[in-house]
Amino acid sequence: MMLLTIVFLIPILNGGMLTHLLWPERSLKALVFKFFLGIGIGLGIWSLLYFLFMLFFPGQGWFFLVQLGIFLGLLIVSVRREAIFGRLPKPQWHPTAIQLVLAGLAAVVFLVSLLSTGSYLLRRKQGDWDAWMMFNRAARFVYRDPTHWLGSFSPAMDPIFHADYPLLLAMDIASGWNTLGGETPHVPMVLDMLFAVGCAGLMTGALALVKSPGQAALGLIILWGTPAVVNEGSRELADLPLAFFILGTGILAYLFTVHRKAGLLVLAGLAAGLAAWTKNEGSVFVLATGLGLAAAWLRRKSWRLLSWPALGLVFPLAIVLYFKLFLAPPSDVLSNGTSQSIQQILDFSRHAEILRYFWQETIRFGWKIALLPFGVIPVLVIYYLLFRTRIDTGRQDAYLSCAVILLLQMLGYYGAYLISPYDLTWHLSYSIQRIFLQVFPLMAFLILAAARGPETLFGKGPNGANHAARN
Amino acid sequence: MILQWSRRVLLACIILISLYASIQNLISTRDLGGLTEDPVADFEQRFIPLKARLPFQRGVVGYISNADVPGASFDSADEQGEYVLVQYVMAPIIIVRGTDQEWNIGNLSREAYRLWNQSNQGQFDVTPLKDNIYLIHRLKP
Repeated sequence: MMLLTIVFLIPILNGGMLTHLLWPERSLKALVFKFFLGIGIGLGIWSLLYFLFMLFFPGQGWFFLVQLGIFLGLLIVSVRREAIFGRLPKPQWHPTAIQLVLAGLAAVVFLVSLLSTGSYLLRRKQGDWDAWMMFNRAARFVYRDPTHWLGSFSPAMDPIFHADYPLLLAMDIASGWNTLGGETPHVPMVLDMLFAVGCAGLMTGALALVKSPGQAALGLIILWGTPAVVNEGSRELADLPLAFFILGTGILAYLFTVHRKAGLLVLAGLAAGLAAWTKNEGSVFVLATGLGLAAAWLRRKSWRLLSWPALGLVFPLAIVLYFKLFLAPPSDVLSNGTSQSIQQILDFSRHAEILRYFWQETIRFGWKIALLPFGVIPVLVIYYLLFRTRIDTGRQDAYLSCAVILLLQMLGYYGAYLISPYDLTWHLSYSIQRIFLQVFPLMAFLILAAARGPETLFGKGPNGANHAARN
Repeated sequence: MILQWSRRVLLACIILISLYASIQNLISTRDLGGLTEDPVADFEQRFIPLKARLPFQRGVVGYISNADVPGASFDSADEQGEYVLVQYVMAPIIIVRGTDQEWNIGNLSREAYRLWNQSNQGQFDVTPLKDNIYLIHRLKP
C-alpha cells in the first residue's frame, strides 16, 4: 500500500510543481486549483516519459529512478524559488452561512459519489468492456513482454481491440506494475479514482478561483451529482481522463484572460496535447483548441500569444505523432475508404439519425428520477438564463475560444459517426453518453463562470445581493 | 421578487436532485456484484493451464467458440464478451478468429466440440482442458 501510494504520489507532485513553476500564483485558491491540475498533468507526463523509456530501454526496471530524479530536480528548483517569495499569504476566508451550507451539501454529494466510485471499482476491479479491450489490455501487452512490447501493434491484432488508441492510461498502468513488480488491479483502480477526483477538484478549484466558494460548491454538486460522470469515472476507461484535459485546457485559457500570464497558455497547450495522448478524440481536440484560440486572438491580432500554447503542445504532440505515424495501425473509424465515406456523408438518413441522438442526449444526459431521464444540460441553460451576469470584456476571448473549441469538438464527433464503418445505431447507442461526458465538465464550468453565485440569493454583504452587482 | 424566488427554487431543485441521484447511484452499485468478487480474474484462471502448454509466450494463436461451429447454439453477446476477455487474459499473445494458426484455442461447449470434431477429424491434435477449454494443435500447417 505504501509503495502504491508512492508510485502515484511522485508523478502527481511532479505535475503540481511543474504547474506551480509555470504559473507561480501563491493564493490558497490558486494552490488548491494547481494541486488538482497537477494530478492530470503529472499522470500525463509520467505516461509520456515511460513511453520514451520503453522505446529506448525496453525491459529495464529503473524508470522509477528517473521519476525520482525529476522529482528531486523540481523540488530543488521549487524550494529555491519559494525561498525568494517568503511565506505563503494567510488565507482570508470568512464564509457566510449560505456558503457553509452549500459547502456542507457539496461535501455530502462528494462523499456519496466517492463511495459510489469506490464501490463500483471494488466490484469491477478490472474495469469494464473497453478497459479489457483497449486500455488495460494494452498495459498487459507492455508489461508482460517488455522486451518485445512493440509487437502489441501487430497488424494481426483484431481491429476491435483498437491497437491504434493512444497510450496514456496503458503506459501509466504498465509503469505502475513495473515499479510494484506485479500486475495488481489496484493500479488501474487508483489511476481511475485519481482522474475522477482530479476532474471534480479541477472544476471546484477553478470556480472558487474565478467566482465564489458558493459557485464552486454548486459546481461540485452538479458535476458529482450527475451519475453519468461518476459511473463513467469508475469504469477504468479514458473518457473521464479526456474530460479532465478538455476541462483543464478551457479553464487555463479562461485564467489567462484574468491573469495574463504566459505560463497558463503553456499549460493549456500541454493539457491539450495530453488529451491527444489519452484518446483519439483528443487529436480532434488539439485542432479545435488551436482554431479556438486563434479565433479569439484573431480579432485582437495577438498572434504571438499562440506561441505559448504551441510550446506546451510540443512534447506531447511529438509523442502522439510518433506513435500514430510509426507504431499504431490505422484507426478502424477511418477504415471505410474514400468512396464509402463520401456515400455515407451524402446519406441524409445518417445525418437525421445522428442529430436525433445528439438532441436526445442533450436533453437526457444527467440524472434519472424514477427511471425517467432528467437532463442536466437544459437545467444548466435555465440556470444561466436566471442567474446570468454581464461577461467582462476581458473574459470574452475565453468564451469565444471555448465556444469555438466545443463546437468544433462536437463537429468532430459528428463527422466520426458520419463515416463510421459500424452500424450507426449501435455506434451511437454505445458511445453517445461518453462523448457528452467528455465535454460536459467544460460546458458546466463556462455556464457557472458566467452566472451569479448562489450567495447572491440570500442576504446582503460582500457575498450577498450586493456581490451580485460586481459579478 | 418572482425572479429571486425562481432562482431559489431552481437552486433547491438542482441540489435536491443531485443529492437524490448520487444516493440512488450509490445504492445501484450493489447490483454489480460482491465487493470481493473479481469475475475477470476467475475467467482468467480457466486459461492458465492452456497458457502453460503453449510453446511460446508471444505470438499469434487462433480462437474458435460456439459461434464458429455450424449448428451449435450460442449467445452472441456472451460470445463477443468472451472473445474480448480471452484476448485480455492471453496477452501478450494475439488471438485471431479461426483455426488457421498452428496453435488454437477452443472455447466450446461439449456439444459444440462434438460437432466441430466431426468435421475436423485428423487435422488437429486436441488437448481437452477444464471448463470447456481445448488446446487445438494443427497437424498439417
